[in-house]
Amino acid sequence: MNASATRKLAWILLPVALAAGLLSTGQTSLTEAASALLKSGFAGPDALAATVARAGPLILAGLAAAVSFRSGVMNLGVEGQVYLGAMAAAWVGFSHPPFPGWLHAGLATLLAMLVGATAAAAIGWIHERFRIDEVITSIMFNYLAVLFTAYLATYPLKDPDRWSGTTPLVLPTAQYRPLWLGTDLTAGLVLVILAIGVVLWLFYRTRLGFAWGLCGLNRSVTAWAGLPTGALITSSMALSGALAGLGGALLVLGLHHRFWAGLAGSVPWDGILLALLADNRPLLLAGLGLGLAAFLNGMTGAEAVTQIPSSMGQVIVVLFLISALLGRRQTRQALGQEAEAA
Amino acid sequence: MSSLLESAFRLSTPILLAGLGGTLTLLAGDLNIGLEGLMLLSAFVAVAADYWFQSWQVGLIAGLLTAALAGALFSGAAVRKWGNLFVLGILLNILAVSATSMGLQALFGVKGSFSSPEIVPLPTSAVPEWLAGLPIIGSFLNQQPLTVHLTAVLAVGAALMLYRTPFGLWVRAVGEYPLALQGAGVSPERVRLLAGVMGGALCGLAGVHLSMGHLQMFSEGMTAGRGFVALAAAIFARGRIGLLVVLALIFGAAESLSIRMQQSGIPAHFPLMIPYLATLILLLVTVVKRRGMHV
Repeated sequence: MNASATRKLAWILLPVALAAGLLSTGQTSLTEAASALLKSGFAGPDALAATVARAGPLILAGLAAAVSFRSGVMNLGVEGQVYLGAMAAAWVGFSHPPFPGWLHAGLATLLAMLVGATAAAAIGWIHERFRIDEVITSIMFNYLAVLFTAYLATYPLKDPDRWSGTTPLVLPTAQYRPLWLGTDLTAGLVLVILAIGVVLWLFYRTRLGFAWGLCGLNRSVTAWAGLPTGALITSSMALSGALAGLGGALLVLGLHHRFWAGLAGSVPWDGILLALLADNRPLLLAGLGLGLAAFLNGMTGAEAVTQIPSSMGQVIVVLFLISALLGRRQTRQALGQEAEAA
Repeated sequence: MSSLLESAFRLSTPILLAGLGGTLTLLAGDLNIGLEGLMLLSAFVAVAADYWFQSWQVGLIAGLLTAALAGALFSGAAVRKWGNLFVLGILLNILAVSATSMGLQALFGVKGSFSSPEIVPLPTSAVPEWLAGLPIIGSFLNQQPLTVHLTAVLAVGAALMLYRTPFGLWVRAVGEYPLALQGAGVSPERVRLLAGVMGGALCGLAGVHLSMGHLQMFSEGMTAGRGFVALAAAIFARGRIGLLVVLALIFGAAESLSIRMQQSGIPAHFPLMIPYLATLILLLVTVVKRRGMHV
């Protein structure tokens, strides 16, 4: 027990040391960098609100990945689905006459989820029907979706008053209402919490979620047990895509209020990292998402004060993840050895 | 027409190289979906080393070594069962994207891309005029960066190695039935590791070709999915090197066509989709031909 605890600690300290090493390569001292990082990540209500707002899309993308990973399909098309969702939300948001009340934002959100779900379900269906590896199809699909939405933003849906490839601003009725004025905290936050709740409920309280988990552990056994693996895979992909689409809607309706090519940045892949790191557990994923958002915001702040490139944040995150994976393996091995010895 | 062919050869080079690398890892049983990341890493390191030392040789070697090392780490992690192969490959890809983006900012102080007239390009191989004047082959020989011709040699070399040498037999055996290899007194782990190193180096050469031969610059995400296209080609060809060459040429031609279409005023986005669509269609065709393609 003690040995494995030490080992665990070592695997946590290793990336911290690496991160500190990376951070201290800049012209500024490590303490200065760290304090700038902490200040813009956590200090004060504004920084916290910005962190929570940034975490929303990350968590949704992470949940999207987790839902597919749990049932044993690798939806690496989260990026494409986020872009499709964002474009759908932007299109409904700016081009339709204002609907009364919540209807406009709701409709834009629904269409975003529907578009994402359809795209992901199609990948799942192709995977099931033709036995084509979904890793490659979903990544090819990413490029197609990103290019297609970029085309829409550059030509037919372009904002005529702007020269770059962006869509017009979404109408105020389609924007998520701010919960806390002066910050990016909007009703979108409620949607994120709702999404976490739904995924938790599905995973741990329903037969469907149980069957997904079974399918992820062993597809042949699931098929032998008489469960429709094809439908399970397609349905989990559909939910995965819907969550990714919701993430896109949140980016447009909650944060940026318009679509542009490259809008999602590294959000989709960070979400996939979160799902891997959290082992597809929704609550852990949400917690890690908050931590990641704080860290990324902190890095952006540190970049302004120090000479540290904010892209270093991504590298540090990946190092953490690699270390977490290795550490888990080491711990498991150590526990196994102890069990054998006993 | 000739220039279309010429650019097709030039564009199919990275796909063929990475495809050969992917083939090695595929046959050895450790399919590396991080080909894209390996290419990106080596493309960046090659440009950086080339720029600093003002020498294409240094750039080439640095790029090759980086990718070989990363390939070794991947296969080593696979041998030690450190995690799911797909997860390791995804990590490799994400790490490459973030590390090169960070490198651009940290080393050159730029975001997005780095180019400089001081980057020494790969030399083009000198070819006698009468050879360069030949139809079809001429455009392949004419004024191409070193890597294009090297790739042709490497493709033949890989085919010979895989099917005419003991090591090739080991690589093919280790993916099928490692115990047989062990019984023959060969360490399966060592063969897998070596395949990973060689596959990495091939992807490294692909990256070097992109950033020092095809263009003299590095930009974020400049591999643009070629690693995945190569992966699809490698899976489709399953060790048949001749088929891999044909597929790489088709993808190269598709890309060169897409560039041509952009120049003729069609919105760039649609021609750019061609290689990815071609990959998807190719995968679908595979299934019509053969059931059970599961990697």
